[in-house]
Amino acid sequence: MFADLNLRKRWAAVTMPLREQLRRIPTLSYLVGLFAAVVLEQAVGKDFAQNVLDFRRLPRFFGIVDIFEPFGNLDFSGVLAPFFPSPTGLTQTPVQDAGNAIGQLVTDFVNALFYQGPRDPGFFSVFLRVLVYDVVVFVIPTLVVALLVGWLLTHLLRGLPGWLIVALNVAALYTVVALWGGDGGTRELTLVYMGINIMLAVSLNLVNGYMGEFSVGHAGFMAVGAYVSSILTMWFFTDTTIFEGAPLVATDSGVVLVVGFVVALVAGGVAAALAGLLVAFPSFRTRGDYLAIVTLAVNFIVQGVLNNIEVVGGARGLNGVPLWSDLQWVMILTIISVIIIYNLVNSTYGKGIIAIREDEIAADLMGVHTRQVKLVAFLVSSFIAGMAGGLFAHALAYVNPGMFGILKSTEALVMVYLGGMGSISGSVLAAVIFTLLVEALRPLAILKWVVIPLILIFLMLFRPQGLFGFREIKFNLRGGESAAAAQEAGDGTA
Amino acid sequence: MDATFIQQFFNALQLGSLYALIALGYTMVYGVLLLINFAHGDIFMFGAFMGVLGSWVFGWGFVPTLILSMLATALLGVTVERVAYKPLRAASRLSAVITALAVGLLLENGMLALTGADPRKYPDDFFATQVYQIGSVSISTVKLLVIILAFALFVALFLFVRRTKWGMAMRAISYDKFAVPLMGVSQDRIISLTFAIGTGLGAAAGILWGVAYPASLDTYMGMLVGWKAFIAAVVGGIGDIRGAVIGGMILGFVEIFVPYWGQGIGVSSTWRDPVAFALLLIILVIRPTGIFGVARRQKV
Amino acid sequence: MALLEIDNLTHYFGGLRAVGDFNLHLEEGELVGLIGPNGAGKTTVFNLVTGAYKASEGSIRLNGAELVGKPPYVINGMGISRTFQTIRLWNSMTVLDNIKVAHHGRVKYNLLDMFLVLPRYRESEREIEAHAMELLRLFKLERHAHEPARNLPYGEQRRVEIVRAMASQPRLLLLDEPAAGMNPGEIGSLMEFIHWIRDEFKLTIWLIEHQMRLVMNICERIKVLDFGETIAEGTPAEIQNDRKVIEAYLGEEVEGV
Repeated sequence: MFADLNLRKRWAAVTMPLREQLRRIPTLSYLVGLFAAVVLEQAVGKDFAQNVLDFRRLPRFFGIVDIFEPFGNLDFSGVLAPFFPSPTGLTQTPVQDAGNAIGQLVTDFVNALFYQGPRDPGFFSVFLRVLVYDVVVFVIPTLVVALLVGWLLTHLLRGLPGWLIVALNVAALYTVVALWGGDGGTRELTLVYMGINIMLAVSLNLVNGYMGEFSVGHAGFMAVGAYVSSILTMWFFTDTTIFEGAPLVATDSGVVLVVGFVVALVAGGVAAALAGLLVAFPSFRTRGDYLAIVTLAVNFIVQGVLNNIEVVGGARGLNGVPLWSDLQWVMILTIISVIIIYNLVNSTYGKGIIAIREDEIAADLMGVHTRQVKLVAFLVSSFIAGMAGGLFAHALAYVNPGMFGILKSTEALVMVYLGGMGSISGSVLAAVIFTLLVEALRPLAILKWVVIPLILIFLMLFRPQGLFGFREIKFNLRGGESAAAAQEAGDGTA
Repeated sequence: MDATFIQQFFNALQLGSLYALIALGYTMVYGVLLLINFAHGDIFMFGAFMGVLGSWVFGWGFVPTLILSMLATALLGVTVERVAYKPLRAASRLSAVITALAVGLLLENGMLALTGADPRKYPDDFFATQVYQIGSVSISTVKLLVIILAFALFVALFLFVRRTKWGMAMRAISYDKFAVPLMGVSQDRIISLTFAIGTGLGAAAGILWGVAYPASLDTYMGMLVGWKAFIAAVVGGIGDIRGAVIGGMILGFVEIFVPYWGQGIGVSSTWRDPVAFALLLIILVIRPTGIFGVARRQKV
Repeated sequence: MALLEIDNLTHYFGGLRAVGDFNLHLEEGELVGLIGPNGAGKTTVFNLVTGAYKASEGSIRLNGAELVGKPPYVINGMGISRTFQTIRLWNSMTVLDNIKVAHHGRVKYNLLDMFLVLPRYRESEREIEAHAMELLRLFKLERHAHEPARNLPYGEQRRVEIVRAMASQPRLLLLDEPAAGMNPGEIGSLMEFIHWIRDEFKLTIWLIEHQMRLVMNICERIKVLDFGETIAEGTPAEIQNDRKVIEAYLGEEVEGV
């Protein structure tokens, strides 16, 4: 116990100068480092994975998708099934059956941990090899390159205006993600979901975090955006039996398609914002739990109405939505959404939203046009959710009403409260973590939806404010020991 | 009034009673804790599943199974409150609501993972159904059972809350948390009791639902039904027992009579849900605190 | 024409007559007090004037413009600002942000300017921030500018509330029990402070207060309410000797008379 503590102290002391150095270099150097790591992976990643680490293919998404796969064979359903039998599953010996099932489960679990066959390595084996892969290919190259260019960048960035530095960082992030993730395959799809989730989380945070309302029906707005934009792109650009048959605009011109998609997405956002009025107007009179019900009811109404409109496929939904949401589209719209929300909540006008949360009556009496501010908050929030819905539909190639139920709304809530209310960077980080978690747990099938709520319950018990409640992650954009970095370090030890 | 109308009337009464029973669970918990217990719909599911345990595995009849289910589910409700909600009582109300959402997901998906997805139903002789013919109207004993039992439970609950010390403490606690210990009752006990009664009623609704709509028994049965009953509770004025009953009945009648009257004018029965929700929304916009809810003036 | 003219102002809560037939004309630059036992309807009058409640009957005019029926933010923009009986700052926001948000009426950009950070947005934000900082400096609170409001001591929070009320550049300032919770020493400096604000900003001040020492010393005119009805009106000396006022306060604690 004590030895362990000493070791940690000594480790901290030895690494102190390094960590000090890593804190001093500007954020951009990490992005340059990541860029180098991505280039390295493309050059030698496959060889390293297959020949040295004995993977069958490149680890998926830093290996996150691979590590839980060994547990995919676990079947828990025998544990309680004998006690809650279907008429065909009746058994005379329920206790014994359940015992057998548990025994089998334990055996399977142990096997999943260690070894399940020559082509099915166990969890520990995969985990260790993934760790080695990530450290060798990503962590070390990133840090080394970051340290190498850090000094240079600190000097280069000196004297540049703040907005230019932010723009440089965004551009670098964009390049790295596009280079790493633009594979047209699972990486890209995961990143597309991630961007959509970021848009959902950030827009919901505007209402739930900054304004302090409790909207539980965000997926409803997403649905409106998804349907309206899909109808437009299908009607105008695809050969579909649902609408006119042949496309209204038969063209291969890239410009026309780009403009068409932009118009369709914006139209989806506007339609979602109009649906947002259904919540915004009641919010003038109603707050808290009752407004939560209004959002819930709107979610159900949107879903129910879509279920009943035969032109858009009713419960079956729309098939044949063009597959246009690639990584670039999603990244650009995600960045725009984050910037819009960031600028809103950091403006004097937008801080009126926070004032409404803190004390609405005082805001009203101190000159804040509270109705207008609420309206803006709900419209911006639902507009972005609608755009996210449009991107979602064009990433999946189909939509149906069932996709936009309470479960989807709950996902958005999970991200907001995981990241912390009133924190944009928290929401972005939470959306990234949540998307990865969903991908990582995908092999577990239904257990995924057991693990996620458990995480949420523990989060609420031990860190109810979320990862970053009411504060933002601070980036050392200029390099050097900035006040922000020092303060962040202080927070870390507290 | 023709026979089908009367028949539909009884259908609506049955559905409304069930919604009302579930809505009571929401409203009672809200009354004492100001917490929206989003897990209640899945507690209702658990009650229905305990019916499967009692009837098939133990081979019990309707009444003992009902009692078993109510007791076991009450135990679950109290446990959930102690483990997940109680530590959050001092934290922001939102943490508790999010936790409730998570507990609901955990229950329905955990149950599915642990018991599998095979379709379930109660044994055929679980509740022997008879159909009475009164003129051209036929009423099944199941319907009568649901309606009569639900009303018996409402009356019992109403008397309990109005006439007993415990019931009065329950009503007092939502007004003033600190006054309740002065009445010689522990706050924790009142909260546990509230959860026990609310979830017990939910379990009764679960079993009755399984008897009345045999095809619906699965681990997600509480999801939509729970949300609907919750909205019914709010429309009635959450925190008020009469409100839950009235809200549940409104919902039941809308859901039965929208398709019934709608078929004449070519509205398909699948419009039932959106129409019901829209109506509830309108009621809420007109009376933001529900039918029996009291608006609390915000002090300037 | 008086700055503020209140005629026959009456307000009901349900069937209860909370304020009855209230009349008051405030001249530019006056410092007037409103006193009365607890529950007399004093704060209700302030709420009616600032638009938090809509008056049941009567009229309230500022420079001749009718205020009844106007929403609070419009009334605030027309030149009436106030503080609250209990402190109502936006607690988690910084002191500076509290002041900035109270500049809402002076925001001169639209959503597009804001989303794209266009020059008009930057210009307007700079102006607001400069004005807010200047106010904080005037009130010697600039060292707290970037602290969350809730971290300030009680007395400072009271001052921040007054600064916030000044942000909209009011011509009439309503102070609801500014001395609440203060000790005698603090009340002394508060009296100087109120005088200073009035002279510095050329304001008209109307205040509610229980601390008789403060009211009797600084107010030029006093109005006394009991059960919503005006029972006396006059100079401090007249009020102190009014039999009805003394009766109304019997059983109440009469501080400093």
